Amino acid sequence: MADLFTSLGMAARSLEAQRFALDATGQNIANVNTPGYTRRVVDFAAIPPTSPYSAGGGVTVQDIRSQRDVLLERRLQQETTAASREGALADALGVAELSLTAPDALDERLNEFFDSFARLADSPMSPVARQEVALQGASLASAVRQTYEGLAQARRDTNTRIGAGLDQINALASRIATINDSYGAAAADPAGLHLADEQAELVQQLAALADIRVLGRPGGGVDIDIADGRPLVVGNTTYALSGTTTGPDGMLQVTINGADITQEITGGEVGGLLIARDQRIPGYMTTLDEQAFELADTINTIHASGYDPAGNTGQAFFAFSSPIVGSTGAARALVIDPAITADPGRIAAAGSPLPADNQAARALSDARDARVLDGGTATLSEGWGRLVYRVGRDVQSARQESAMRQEVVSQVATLRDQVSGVSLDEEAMQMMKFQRAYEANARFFRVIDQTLDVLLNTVAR
Amino acid sequence: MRMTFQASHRQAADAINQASERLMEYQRQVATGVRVGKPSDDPSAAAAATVERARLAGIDRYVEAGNSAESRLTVADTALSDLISHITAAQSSVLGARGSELTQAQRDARALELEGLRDAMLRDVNTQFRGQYLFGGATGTTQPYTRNGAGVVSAYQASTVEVSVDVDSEHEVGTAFNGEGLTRGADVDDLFQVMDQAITAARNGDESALGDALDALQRGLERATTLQSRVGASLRTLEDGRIRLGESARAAKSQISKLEDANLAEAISGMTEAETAYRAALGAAGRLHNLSLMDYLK
Repeated sequence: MADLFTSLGMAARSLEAQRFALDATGQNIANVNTPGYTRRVVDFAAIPPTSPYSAGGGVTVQDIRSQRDVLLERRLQQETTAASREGALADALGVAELSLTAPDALDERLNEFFDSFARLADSPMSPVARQEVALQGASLASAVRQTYEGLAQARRDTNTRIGAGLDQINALASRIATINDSYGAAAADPAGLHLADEQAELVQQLAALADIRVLGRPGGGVDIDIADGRPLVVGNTTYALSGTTTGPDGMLQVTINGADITQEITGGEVGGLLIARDQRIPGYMTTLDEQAFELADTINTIHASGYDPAGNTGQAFFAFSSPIVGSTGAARALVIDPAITADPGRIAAAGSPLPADNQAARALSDARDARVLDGGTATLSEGWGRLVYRVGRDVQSARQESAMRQEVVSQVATLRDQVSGVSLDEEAMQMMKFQRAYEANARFFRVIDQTLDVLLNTVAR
Repeated sequence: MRMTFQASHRQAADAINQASERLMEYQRQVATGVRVGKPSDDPSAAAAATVERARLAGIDRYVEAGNSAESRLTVADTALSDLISHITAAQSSVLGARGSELTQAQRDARALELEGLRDAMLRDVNTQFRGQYLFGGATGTTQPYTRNGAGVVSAYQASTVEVSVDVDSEHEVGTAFNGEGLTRGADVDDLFQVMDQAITAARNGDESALGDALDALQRGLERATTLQSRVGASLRTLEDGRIRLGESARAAKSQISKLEDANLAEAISGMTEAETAYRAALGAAGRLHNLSLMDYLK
């Protein structure tokens, strides 16, 4: 009798174990699309016999585990950091590139400007030709300013995105710290697996934003350093990143715990945006400043040596609307001299005080071919071409690097999924397996029940 | 190897995105005919095209300057032909005024003839083009020679500085000439003073003065002929330059096209290929996701 009841208990435990496994399978199927979810695996263990007349106590659920490979997850974080940096850099520079390809592109204006001097050389006494020179000069100066403003706007937009990135980092860090706090209560609980999944996903998102270092905590959870080892999350404490507006252009300085780490963040989306904001785009702006300065200097030098129809000399053609330091600020401030705007008759076309002389206009037109940039190696058009090449190459390399890194991310993610992901076909097979086991155990239960029935009826007779 | 739902979905999505991106790029090239729409499409080509466009603009500027100079030079050439013709006629008249057998009436007639030729020469030297005197040098609107009420022609009033324009990077042509160099050159008297002296000599039958005038007219003729040769050479330079600049412009345009424009045959072929790849990626994703063991469970 006792043995039969033991068998009944064994069947009940087995049914419970198979149901639990079916539950886990159902959980896996339900979370097939949940980001960060790792496949659950149920570990069964046979219950050993308690007497020589027992085959064993059936089966019990020993554990439920997440299928997780920490090394692959770390690698995925690293690759995501690199891919995000290149992607953000490509996006930011792509916006800057638009400034160079506007319909009113600077090279067209430059050509039109020099053409207008050639027409003035052809008709040095023509008021119309003078008016055209003044208009083309103003148009060129405007194109230089607009190109500079386009780059400055791209830089400001990038700065705004950096601010948003800092907010995201702080929000993610805060949630990670909250999960660290929850671990204390949930470590021994199956909910610990869910916390680990959620935290891993948050860390993955954080890795896409900045270069971080993740350190596992004893008992679960993670501590996180950012940039050059600055603590971001320690246990349930978060050290928030701050964006402080600095300088005349209002760019954000990134600080943590009072320390400036703007130059230290070199990875992730924020790292890529910082590279674009602080290195690449300012580099283009500096080059444009130099070109604007050389343009003004070259034209002004020739123009000042010429004579207007009234025999006046020494007038500059271009001016700067605000003070410049060296060439810094030249592109933003380049304007046609107000005296020329007010009276195009002051344009100096002559090389002598003779009204139909065109020597200065010819020299100004020939300045198109003068090698005044990059240490006398490039004309103004070639200098512009070099800037176009530089921006184009930077965008192209960032895109290529981003695509390559993204491919690596995809491959590592596939490797991780091979360990942690849910395969519906596999889960279907698991479902069949546990269903059949449940059916068999239920049948076993019925057989024992019927056997007991036979025994009880025999005793009753 | 376990192929999970997420991995197969991600790979399918990546394949679809890549194929779609390629298809869009070829569609853009076919629709616009442009391969390099922005510098990052091909940085080297974009930079080279910028320089080529500047070169083309420079060529266009030279062509424009050449066309304008040609009009001026053609008018100058005509004026010089007329001047040469009038000097030659003056030489004939001076020759006709020589000889002791001429009556006073005949001498007066010759003198009148010379007066007419002097006025014609004055018109030739004062020829204008678009309001500017071709033989007035760099003063433009200052008339080189004027005549007062008594019919006396002034001294040269305009500039001796000539005006030139660049017609290519190596050549320039004159467009306004030194009128004094034409009428006087290294002589003491200009053509009009010589003509006045010839008129007086013709009236007076002064053989010696007529002989001097004849010599001076000959030198004037040589100066006019020399200047006309210069003008002719400039016109030939323009003609040669037009051919050369035309070839350079075609080469620059061709280069810009090679750098920036799409090869339509290649783009259409690429588009067809990309479309096939896109359809294949869509089909593969669709079929892959239609297959599941779940379908076989009852």
